[in-house]
Amino acid sequence: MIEKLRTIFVSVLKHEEFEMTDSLSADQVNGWDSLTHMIIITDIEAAFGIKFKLKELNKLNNLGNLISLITEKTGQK
Amino acid sequence: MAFASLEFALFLILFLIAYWFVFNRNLRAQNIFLLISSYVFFAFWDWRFLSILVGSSAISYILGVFIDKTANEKRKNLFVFLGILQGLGMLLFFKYYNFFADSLVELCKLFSVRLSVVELNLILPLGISFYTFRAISYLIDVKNELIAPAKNWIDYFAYLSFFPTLSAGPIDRARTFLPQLENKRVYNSSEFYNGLRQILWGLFKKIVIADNCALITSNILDNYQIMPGSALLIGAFLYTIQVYADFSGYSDMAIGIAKLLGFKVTRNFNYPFFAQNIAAFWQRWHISLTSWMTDYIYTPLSFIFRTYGKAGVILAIMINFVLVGLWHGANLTFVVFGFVQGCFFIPLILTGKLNNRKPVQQIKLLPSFNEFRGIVTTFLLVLIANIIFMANNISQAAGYYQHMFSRSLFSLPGFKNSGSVITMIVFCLVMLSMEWVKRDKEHPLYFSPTKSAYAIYGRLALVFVIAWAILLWGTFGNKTFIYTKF
Amino acid sequence: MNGYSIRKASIADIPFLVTVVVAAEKSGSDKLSYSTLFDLAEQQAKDFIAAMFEEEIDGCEFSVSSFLIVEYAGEPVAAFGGWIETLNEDELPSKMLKSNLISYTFGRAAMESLKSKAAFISELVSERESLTLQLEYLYVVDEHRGKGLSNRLIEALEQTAFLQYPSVTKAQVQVYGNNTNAINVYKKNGFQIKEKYKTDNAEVLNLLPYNEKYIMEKLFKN
Repeated sequence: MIEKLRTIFVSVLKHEEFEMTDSLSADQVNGWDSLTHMIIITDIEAAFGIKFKLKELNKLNNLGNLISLITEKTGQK
Repeated sequence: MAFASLEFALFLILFLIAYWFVFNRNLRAQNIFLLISSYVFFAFWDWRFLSILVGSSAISYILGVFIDKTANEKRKNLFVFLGILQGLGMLLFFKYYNFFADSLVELCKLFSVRLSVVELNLILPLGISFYTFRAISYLIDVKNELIAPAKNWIDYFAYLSFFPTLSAGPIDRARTFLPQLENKRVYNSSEFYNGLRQILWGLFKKIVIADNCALITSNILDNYQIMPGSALLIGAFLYTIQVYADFSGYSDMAIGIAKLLGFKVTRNFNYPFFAQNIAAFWQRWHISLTSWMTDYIYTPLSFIFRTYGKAGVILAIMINFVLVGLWHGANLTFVVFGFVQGCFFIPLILTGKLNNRKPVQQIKLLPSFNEFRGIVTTFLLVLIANIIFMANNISQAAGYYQHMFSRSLFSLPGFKNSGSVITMIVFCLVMLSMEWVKRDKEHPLYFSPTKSAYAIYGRLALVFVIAWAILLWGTFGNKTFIYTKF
Repeated sequence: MNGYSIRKASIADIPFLVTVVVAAEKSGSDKLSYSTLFDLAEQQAKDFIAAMFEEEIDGCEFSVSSFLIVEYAGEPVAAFGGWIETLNEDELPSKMLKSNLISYTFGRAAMESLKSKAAFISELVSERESLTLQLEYLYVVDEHRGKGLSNRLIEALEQTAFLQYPSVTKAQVQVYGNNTNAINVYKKNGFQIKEKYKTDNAEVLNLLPYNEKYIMEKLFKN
C-alpha cells in the first residue's frame, strides 16, 4: 500500500522530497497545498476504490492515520 | 444651538454682559431683550418655525385675557378648550401625524381594510412639547384662578420661550415663573457661582458620561443578536445611567444658566436612583413633567373614577403613564413603556403604599438594608423597562429580552472594547457616589458657605478635577440631547 | 441602524449564502472559480456550494456558523464570513477543511479538471495565519450599498471573534488586486495591504477574476 501511495504523491507533487513515515504530514511537504491535497485525495479514492467520509477527511493529519483509514476501508470491502 | 457648543458659550457671554450691564436699569427693557435673545436662540435652530412659537404664544395669551375678562363659566371652559386644541393640535400634528397615520393603517389591516395614507416628512419644531405644556398649564391655572393672567404680553411670550429651558425643559409653571419675570432680577454672587458649578456638573454628566455611554449602548443595541446576555445586561445598565445623565445633565445646565440670569427654575431631578419604590422614582424623575401630568391628567382622572376605588386609581395611573410614555416619542415602544411603568404601580396601589411618605432621614453614609433592597429593586425595574424605551421597535425589544434572559447571561461579556466599557462603568459609579454623598443638596457641586480653608481648597480642587475630566473625556462637537427630540 | 439588524446565519440562509459566495468570488468579473476550475456549469457549482454549507463544518469559509447576516424588513441583504483560524473542532487550517469539503462534494470528474489547472493557481493561494480572525466573502445587495453595512459587519465579526478568542490580535482578509471597492472598504476599517501574490500566467485570467491577490491585515488594540 505504501508504494501505491508514494506513486500517487509523486505524480501529483512532481517531486520525491519526502519520507514515507507515519508522522509525515502535509505541511512538511513542498507543494502540498489545498489544491494538490484535493487531487491527492481523489486519486487515492480512485486507486483504492474507496470513498472517504467528510469527518474522516478532517481527521487525517498524517500518513499514519491515512494508512490506518485506508486499511479499515479496504478491509471492510 | 446645543448648550455644549462654542456658539452657545459665545452667545451666553454676550447675552450676560448686555443683560446685567446694559439692560439692568429697566425691567421692561431687560424682558424685551430676554425675549428677543430667546427668539435668536430659537432661530439659530430653524427660523422658519419661529412663526409657530410666536403664533402659539399669541393665541394662548389672547385666550388668557378672554378667560380672565369673561365671567361666564361655560365661556371660560370654551377658551381653555380652544387653547388646548390649538396647542395640542400643533403638537400632535408635528410629532405624531406619521405615527397615528401608520397606526391607523396597521389597525385597518387587522380588519382586512386597505388604507393608504400620505406620509409627511415633518420636522419637529424645537421645544414644542415643552412650550405647549407651559401654555396649557397657564390657561388652566388662569381659569381656575390660581394665577392672574400675565400683566403684559412680553412677559408671557418670554415665559414660553425662555431660552435656557426652551429646548428641553424643565417645564416651569406660570405661577412660579411669571412673578419672576414681572419683578426685577437681583444679582446674587453666590447664586451666580452656584449656577456656574451646576452648569459644570451638568456638562460633565452630558458629555463625559451620557455621550460616551451612548457610543457603547448604540453598538450593543445594533449587535444584540450576536452578543451574550451578560453584555446585553451591561448595555441596559449603561443605557439607564445614560438617559439619566443626558437628561438631568441638560436640566442642570438649563437651571444653572437660569441662575446666571437671576431666575429660579423648578427642579427636574431629585436623584431618582435613590428611590425605594417606583412611585418615589417618578416623583424624582423629570419632576416638571410628572407633576404637570399629575395636576392636569391624573388628579382629574382619579376624581372622575373615584367611585371605583382601587380599580379607578389603577386606571387613572395607567392612562397617566401611557401618556407619559407617548409624550416621549411617536413610537409604539413608548406606549408600551408607559403601560409597563403603570403596571409597576399596581402592587403599590393594591397594598395601599402609593402615597407612603417615608420620614426624612438623616444623611447617613450607608443605606440601611431595607433602604438598599428598595433601591436595588427599583433600579432593576427601571433598567428592565428601559430596554423597551431604548429599542427602535417592539420586535427589537422582544429580541433583546430574549437574548438577554438566555443561558448566555452567565457567559463573559467579551467586549472588543472592554477598556472603554469598564471606564464608563467606573465613571457611572463615581457619579452615583458623588450624588449619594450630596443627596440632600440640589446638585453635588452645591456648596454651602464655609470658612474652613480646607473646605475651600478641597472644593476648588473638586471643581478643577471635574473640569479636567470634561476636557479629557468629553465628546465635543456633539449632537443634541436625547430629550430635544421630544 | 435604521431598520437593519445583524444576526448569525442559520441553515435556512444557505440559498442566500450561495449568492454571497458566488458574487464575492466573481469579484466583479464573470468568472466563478468554482465553475471555471472544475469545468462545471454555474448552476452545478452553486448546488455544490450549497451542499458544502449543508455539511455544517465549522471554521472555514463554507461554514454557516462563520457568517453574520444583515437583515432589512425580514430579508437578508448583506453578509460576511469570519472565523478564528485553526480554532475548530479538528484544529485544522481552514484550507484543509475547504479542500476536504470540495473533494468530498465536487466529485472525481471535477477533481480531474482541477488537475490540469492547479499549477499556476497555486501561486495565488496563501497561508492563513493561525489564531487570527480570517474574513471571507463580503457581499451587500446593490440597493443597500452605501449604507455602512460593510462597516457594521466587520465590526460585528470583530466583536464575535473576541467572544470566541479574547486574545485575538489581528484580522486578515484576502482580496483580488482589481477589486478597488473592497480594498477601499477594508482600508476605511483599518486594514492595510500586507502582502501581494501574483502569477504571470496568462491562462489565469480565463479562470479567475484577476491574476493578483492581496492580503490585507488589521491589528487590534484593546
